[in-house]
Amino acid sequence: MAADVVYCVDQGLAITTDRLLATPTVLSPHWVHWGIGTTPAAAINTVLESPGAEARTVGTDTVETTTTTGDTYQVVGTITCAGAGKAITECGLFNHLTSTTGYLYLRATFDVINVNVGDSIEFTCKVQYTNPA
Amino acid sequence: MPYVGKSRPKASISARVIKADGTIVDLGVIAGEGKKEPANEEKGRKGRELLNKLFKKEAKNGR
Repeated sequence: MAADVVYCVDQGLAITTDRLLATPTVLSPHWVHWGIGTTPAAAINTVLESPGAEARTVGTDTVETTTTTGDTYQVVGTITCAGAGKAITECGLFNHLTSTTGYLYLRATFDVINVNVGDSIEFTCKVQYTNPA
Repeated sequence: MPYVGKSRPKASISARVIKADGTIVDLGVIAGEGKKEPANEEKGRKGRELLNKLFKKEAKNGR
């Protein structure tokens, strides 16, 4: 059983501040990927532990309201299993399609979701910006 | 487990599995804010039960 942990990682914080610039230098983090890594998500993560062979997919990103108007960044993205069945235990949001370019914004680990070839998982990733308690 | 680190944004991940035959299994929040809420835990439990049932059936059929 993987620990259910989700982190807006350190690189994600950097992406956030960059995107506030009048001319951002990085793309928005709306590429979704999955993997089979089980080491719990941590702030220092820069990649998925064991990413699937499938390509990252473009998600739909929107601004939503959780507590105060427009406080939540949401990405909905779907990945379809190819090649062989997998036990999915992690997912992440990236700001680029390829692994050699771009950064990790968010990583999550969770209990196994078994998928066979042709099965898909639609992930809804929500990040709420709020004042510390 | 809720998000870790009070200065970081709160995050959550929800998942829906879409089987190759079109069957949709909603697992609710699988990590982060809201996962431990009773209604979500119940949704997740039922979803995983159904998913495991479908998975075993597929394995039996050699898929």
